[in-house]
Amino acid sequence: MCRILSYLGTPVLLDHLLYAPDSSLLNQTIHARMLAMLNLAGFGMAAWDPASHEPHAPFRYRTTQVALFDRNLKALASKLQPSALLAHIRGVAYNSTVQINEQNVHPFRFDGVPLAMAHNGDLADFRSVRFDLVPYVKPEFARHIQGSTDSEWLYALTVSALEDPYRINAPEEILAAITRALAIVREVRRAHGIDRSSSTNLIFCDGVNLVAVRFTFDFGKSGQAQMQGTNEFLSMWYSFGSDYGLHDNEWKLTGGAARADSVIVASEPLTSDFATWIEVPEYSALLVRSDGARRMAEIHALEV
Amino acid sequence: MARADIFAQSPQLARLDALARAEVLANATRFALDSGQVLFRQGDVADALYILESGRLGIETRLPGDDTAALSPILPGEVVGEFALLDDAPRSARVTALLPSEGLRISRARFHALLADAQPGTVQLAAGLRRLVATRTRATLARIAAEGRFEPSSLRRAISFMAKPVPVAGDAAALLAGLGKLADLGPDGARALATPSRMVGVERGQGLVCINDDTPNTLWIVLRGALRASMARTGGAEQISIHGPGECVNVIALEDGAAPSLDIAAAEDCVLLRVPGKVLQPVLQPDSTNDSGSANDWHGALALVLGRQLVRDQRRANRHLGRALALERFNLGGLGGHA
Repeated sequence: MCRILSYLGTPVLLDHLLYAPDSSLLNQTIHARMLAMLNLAGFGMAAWDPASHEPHAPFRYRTTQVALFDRNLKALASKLQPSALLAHIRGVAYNSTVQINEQNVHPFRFDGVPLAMAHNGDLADFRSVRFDLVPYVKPEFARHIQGSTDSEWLYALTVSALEDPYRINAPEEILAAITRALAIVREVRRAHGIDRSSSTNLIFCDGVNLVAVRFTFDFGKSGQAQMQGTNEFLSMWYSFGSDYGLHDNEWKLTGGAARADSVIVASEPLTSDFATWIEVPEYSALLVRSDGARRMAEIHALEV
Repeated sequence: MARADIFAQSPQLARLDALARAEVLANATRFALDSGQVLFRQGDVADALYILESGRLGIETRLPGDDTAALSPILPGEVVGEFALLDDAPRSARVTALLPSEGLRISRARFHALLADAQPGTVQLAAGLRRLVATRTRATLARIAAEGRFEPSSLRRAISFMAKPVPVAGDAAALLAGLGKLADLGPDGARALATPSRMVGVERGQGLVCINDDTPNTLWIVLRGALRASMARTGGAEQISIHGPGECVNVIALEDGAAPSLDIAAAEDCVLLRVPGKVLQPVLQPDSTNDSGSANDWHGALALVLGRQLVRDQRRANRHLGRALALERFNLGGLGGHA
């Protein structure tokens, strides 16, 4: 069912986000605290480093290996200091029908489009509806779809709904495009009579702004009462502050909300003590914008 | 303060009868703290409830950015740590003695052992703690309402209360029994609860419970879909919480008999169980003469379910308030403008 981690703020050592905290993203591979599932089907990230060549373009890394064992990633993480990050570990059903390949590893980002996206959740019966989505995907993006996931289609629908997907868009423009994409999916689901709970937690980041969506279609409706992710809204948390690091033997952002310049948004907190983390409300989006060194954050209702 | 007086100071515990008071006192131990000593920390395993006899305790919760927020202090006669007896989540705040303090400690393990035996005093104590949580949640919601820190962008469409729930056919007991949050009821309890109740359907967007209702005599249990609890604002509804399958709605009003604490509407098309309030009376207002023996085991199970729901509701109200406070500080404070 996947886990996502995103960061926007002052440069921070990648290792401190991916590895160091007791419930870091990579530790969630086998020990997620808020999801009873292993996330073994790949790791991917886009990381923006202001000191790098062409700083607006992110480092990208995608692998189908279990990243916990990936020495190359560990070595990179001890060198890179991005100011923005979107990272994802993929969790899938435990059976042989699932396609494990690089094309299905998040985050998704089409050539020339600044915006990248990672998804936590899945759309019920997606294979039976996906071709009804084709009319809503711009041809220039449809030809980029290489994988078999619902997530890549959600990304393609969203960037297709942006007036100009090739520039940095304001968070409100990104949210409007996401809302349009989700409305299309709702309509197609309705046409196919699909009303099974389908989680659609999404994080979009372009290195400048970040939009995190906590949303579920038909939440609470499932034939299998105990199914994970249907009776519980999939989690999404955030924290903010400055100088992310190990303080008083605890990985956290410090300095108080009033001096905050950095935001972490993730499927679940990176530390087992989540006292300084807050949940993104259900059916809502968290918008984080950069204005020079400043960050602003807002909660928007998401009604689709 | 003499030990016998300790219940009189708390409106919720003052309703315990003499037998119940004696049972609670017999099963409590004493605690004492020097000024500055920590009683428990946020995130600790919650293993006991404390009733303060003398002194003063400070409550502090943490916020993003490693900020802290001090809550109202605990004074003699007041209870702290009550979540520990009602659910099994970690401590939600740090409590420190502001003055030399002492009082009674009731362990979670002892409480649940007595409750499993349907000991009447402990059953009454549990009801008192539920009323306490309901009161505290009302206070949090009143603060949210009064301070109005909501962002206009976060408001939902205003609720229409014109529609009426429609009957739904089906096996309510089977649906109840399949919900993890209601597992304590067991198949027999699910059947006992479903028999006097009715299944109804509500369409997405329709209002179900209005804060202005003056007869909060129905418990709603979500079987399928989800309900949204919100507060009416100029321009729309401020969402406080979402209640999915297995959650009980309208519990605060049933516990304290006052008007509903929030407006409730369907966030998704729903199938709900409508439980008449009279079915709940032995659970809501137990006394030492109630038959709380084996014939009514499901009353005890339902009491546990309602207790967990009340704690869940309070945690969500607190989280909503904390989010609003933290975001306001974040956006007004300069946000890296210092750099």
